[in-house]
Amino acid sequence: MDSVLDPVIEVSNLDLGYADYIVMRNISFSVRKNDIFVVMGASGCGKSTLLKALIGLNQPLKGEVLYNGKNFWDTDEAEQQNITRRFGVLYQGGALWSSLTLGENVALPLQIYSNLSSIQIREVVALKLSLVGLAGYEDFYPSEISGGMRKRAGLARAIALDPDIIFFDEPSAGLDPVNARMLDDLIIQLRDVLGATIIVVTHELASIFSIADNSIFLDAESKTMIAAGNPNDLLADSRDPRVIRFLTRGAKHPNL
Amino acid sequence: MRSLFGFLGELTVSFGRLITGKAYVRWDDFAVTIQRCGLDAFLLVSLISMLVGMILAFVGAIQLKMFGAQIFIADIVGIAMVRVLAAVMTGIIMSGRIGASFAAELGIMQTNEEIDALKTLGVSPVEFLVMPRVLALFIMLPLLTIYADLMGIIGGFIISIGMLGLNPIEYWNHTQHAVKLIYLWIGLIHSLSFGLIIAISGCLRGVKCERSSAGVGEATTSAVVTAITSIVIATAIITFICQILGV
Repeated sequence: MDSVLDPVIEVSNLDLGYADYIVMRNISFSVRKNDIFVVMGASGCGKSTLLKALIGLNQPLKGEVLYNGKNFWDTDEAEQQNITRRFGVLYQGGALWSSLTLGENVALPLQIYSNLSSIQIREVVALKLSLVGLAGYEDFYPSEISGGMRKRAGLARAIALDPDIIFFDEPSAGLDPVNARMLDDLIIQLRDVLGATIIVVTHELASIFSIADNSIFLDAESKTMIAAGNPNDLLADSRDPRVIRFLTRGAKHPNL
Repeated sequence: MRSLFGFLGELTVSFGRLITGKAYVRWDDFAVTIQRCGLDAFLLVSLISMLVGMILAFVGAIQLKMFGAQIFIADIVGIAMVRVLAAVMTGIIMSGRIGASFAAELGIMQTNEEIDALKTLGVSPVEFLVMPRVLALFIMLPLLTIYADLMGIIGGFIISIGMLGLNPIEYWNHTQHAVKLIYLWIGLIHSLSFGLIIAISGCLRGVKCERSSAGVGEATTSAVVTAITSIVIATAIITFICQILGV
């Protein structure tokens, strides 16, 4: 039986990049079940590239990504699909399919992977949309709603199939502080209600400190991860000026 | 080149899955594309092909007049339109109208990560987005071409009867006699190939688009240029083959 402490995701010695250009090298970490795990770092350091390797969009140059012990990039396509089927991904801009209404967006994963009738699907869609505060918006197109609403609708779609692991790419980007806070609360709620494991790629300090159980810090200059642990502990204990500078928004810190 | 073959491979696999009923295709896109290729393109196709028919009649008249053989304008217009020109003109119009819009639509979907979202859901973008567009154009281009054949012949007819003073019944008989069924088939082969060329160029450029507004612009331009160049090359190849086969 899986223990809570068993890692759901294990990443070891990962090198990321494109053919002859390395973005990040030697990344290793593991994510425990039910954790909210944050990948942080400055803009352009390769956070999103790492996310793409985790969700199966970009093959890493080297290294392993294990989901419940299965090496993702070493399995066949059918097995990879079995693994990704248990994922929910919230992309930076929501990535809603623009020719579909919000209702159709949330319904599509259900139509493909569940045996629910169309009436049941409609009920689940209404439920998921109300979970993210968009009850009654089924017939709106993505172009008719605001950026924050698009993001929440994207989240409703990401959780349509009650995923085991939910990935968030810069969830607070483009949101006002109140909406960003609401989304953070929603992330915690999802972890607690769905029992999901959550990976968040972000550089928003307020989010990082309020939601993260564990984290890694990616550094663009040295092209690798230079710190790992709970962000609050990192702030208190880290002696690395790059980490402290980031966690204090560039302010000086008594530890340095 | 590698991406083209990879894309064609994926398209073939998707087509196989469609035939075996396993494909997840968005049929709404199919219906919308059919409408855009049909109703929305009618006016432009009518105008262009009728004008081409008229131009052919004028140009032909200058030469044939010298021999007192103006009635053969009917043969020139009929054969040229049905065999090749209607298909080529329709192909060029649709490259600009539909090929460009495919590239822009899919390019923006790529930029907005919509295509990534499909992939992570385990849905092939080629199956879901490309297949309905390719099928719609493959069906609609031959139909539009047949319509353009007719419009071209009518254009030639108007000039020949209205301005050159030819006998309408004689003109019609000449057209009927000159346009053989095999020419209609040759025209259809042209249009079927052009349908595939336009849809594949548009979708390929869209799916492989760089994630920026400049990338979408480039994808759109390149889709139209690729489609028109390929249409001309395909026409040359088909004409050459017909020449060898003696048809």
